[in-house]
Amino acid sequence: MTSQVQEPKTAVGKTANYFDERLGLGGFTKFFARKVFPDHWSFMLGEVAMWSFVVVIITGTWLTFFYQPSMAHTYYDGSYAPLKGAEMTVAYASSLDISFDIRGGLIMRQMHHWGALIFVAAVGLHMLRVFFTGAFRKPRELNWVVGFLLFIMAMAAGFTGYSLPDDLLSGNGLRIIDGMIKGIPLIGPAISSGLFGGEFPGTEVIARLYALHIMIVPAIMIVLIGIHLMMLVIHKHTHYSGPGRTDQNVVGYPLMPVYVAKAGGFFFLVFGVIAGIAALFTINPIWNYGPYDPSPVSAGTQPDWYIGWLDGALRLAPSNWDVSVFGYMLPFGVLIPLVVSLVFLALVAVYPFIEKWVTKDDREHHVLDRPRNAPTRTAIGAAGVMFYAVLWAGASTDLIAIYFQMSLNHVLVAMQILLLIGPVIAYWVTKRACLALQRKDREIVLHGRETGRVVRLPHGEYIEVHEPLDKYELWKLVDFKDYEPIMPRPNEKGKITVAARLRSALSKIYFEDRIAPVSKAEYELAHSEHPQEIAAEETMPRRKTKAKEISK
Amino acid sequence: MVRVNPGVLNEAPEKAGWSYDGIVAYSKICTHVGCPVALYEQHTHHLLCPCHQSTFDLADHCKVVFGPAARPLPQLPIAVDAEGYLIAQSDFLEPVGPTFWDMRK
Repeated sequence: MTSQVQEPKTAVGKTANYFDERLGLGGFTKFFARKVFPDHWSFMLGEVAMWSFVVVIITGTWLTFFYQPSMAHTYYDGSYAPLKGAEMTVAYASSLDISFDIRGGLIMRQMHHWGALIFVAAVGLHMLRVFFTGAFRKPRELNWVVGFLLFIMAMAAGFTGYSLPDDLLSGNGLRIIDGMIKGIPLIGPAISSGLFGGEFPGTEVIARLYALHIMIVPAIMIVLIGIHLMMLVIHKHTHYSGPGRTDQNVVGYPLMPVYVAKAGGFFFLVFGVIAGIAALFTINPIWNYGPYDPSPVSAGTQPDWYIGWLDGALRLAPSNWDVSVFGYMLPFGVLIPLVVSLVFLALVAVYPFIEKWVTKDDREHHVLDRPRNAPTRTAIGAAGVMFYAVLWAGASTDLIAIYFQMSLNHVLVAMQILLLIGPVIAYWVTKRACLALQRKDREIVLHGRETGRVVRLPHGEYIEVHEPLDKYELWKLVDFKDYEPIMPRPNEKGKITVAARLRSALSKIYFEDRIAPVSKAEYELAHSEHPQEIAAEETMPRRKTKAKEISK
Repeated sequence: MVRVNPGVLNEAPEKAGWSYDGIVAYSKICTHVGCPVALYEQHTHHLLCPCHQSTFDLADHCKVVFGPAARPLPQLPIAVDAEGYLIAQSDFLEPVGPTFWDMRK
């Protein structure tokens, strides 16, 4: 071999060489262009979140050119006749101007609002995908936490922005936040007067929320998204099981050209859908609500959807429960919803660590679980979703009562009961459903699919022909990790610790009811017993790794 | 400020002089988290907060009859002056609005 260096001859080649020699872009490009991403529709949810975030940033930046975060008083003099001459804050007046008098303002405002709603929804769905497929397992626990923080920041960004137009609806939302903050023991009243610059509503809060909304929160989010994506590159993407897909590889298409085209094009799809919705459907018609005034409120008030569960928690709180401790007041009607939602969020944040502690599984997982193959995790997830959903529906008790012509009080009490028993029912039903699906999978692996074709054999017997699965489907059904309950074992000192007992108890809850994947021996036995039922050729995938001894 | 039939009004003896001919005045700021308690139903004489559905009985010192609030709405003692105008006898004697940590101090 000769070490002759080939000089590029084309214009593109020369340009590329110029940059490579000065910036070393060659290696960088090689690394990223060959980055492999697996294909599955569920991997698109995170992408929807990312692109809608970009849309929100673009439209939000545009809005900052026209919005004025001032609570100074003014009289409206724009083109919306019903409010002409009305006294309002400059913030509300400039929001009206954006809606009516600035060219393209209304669609930008609506794209910003719709984009934000879609962003939080996409983040939530992406989180659920990651949860139910076990994508949070080692080595991705920390990225789950980063994603969780993004979810919290998304809600924070949403709420701070929601309040900026200073209309009647958002003003009442802010009033509720003030009431909740005031209820926090010891520091609550001080935080409230700090935030509002004195007694609610004051003259400061809009400017402060504006700083949070356009500077602090997005800056944190951009950093978190950077870390989130960096970790994605470091960890590589997960994939669903299939022949040739293991915990040691990634099977998919390279970034260049396939994913550059797909993801790049997808941005325009997301942008187009948000623009389409924003053009067709009114969101947050602030001109109907009027300027904020602490004394009126409209019936049927509701927050944006992602704050709904917190509002629902406030509504479902127990009645008549202020407690006086040494003369200091503890309003449990506010504190219980606050504590319950914080505990719920904390459980979401630490779930990967809980599961890892229970399973004692220290392996890396790059092949995703089908939800049915982790019945207890899926059931816990379903219970969590149920809990969230009841709280969320709880924010609409008044609307439910009106539309279904029921008593408001009955709806609320029913919701309170559902909040307690709903998650239990969801847990049980989901777990049983998962186990049943796993049994069905075993049945299909062992005996093939029923074809409904009945054949008469030469000696007169009738049988139904069962069709064997192809390799890909078979692999999907048998390739999953199987855990067994862990016994409490003594440590080096010969003592069984409380932690060991707790782990064992939790492990029992997780894995006591389990359906093992079909083993090779079982498969061969089943197929030698009924050779005539199985048609032509078949291949049994070898399970790549024996489940390591989990309990050390 | 609402006028109810003086017959249905159940007033504690020490607050008997706080209303005038069925006219009572209460704080409109909910004692739960501070929304305006803006809905009044005449035949039940209940006040309902549209935010979290706390319900107060106007005829019975605005005590909480339903929902997450805990304290009754504070009452403003009113009277009629020589010219026939309604006037407040004093400020609210109870803290107005949501319950907070050091409200009794």
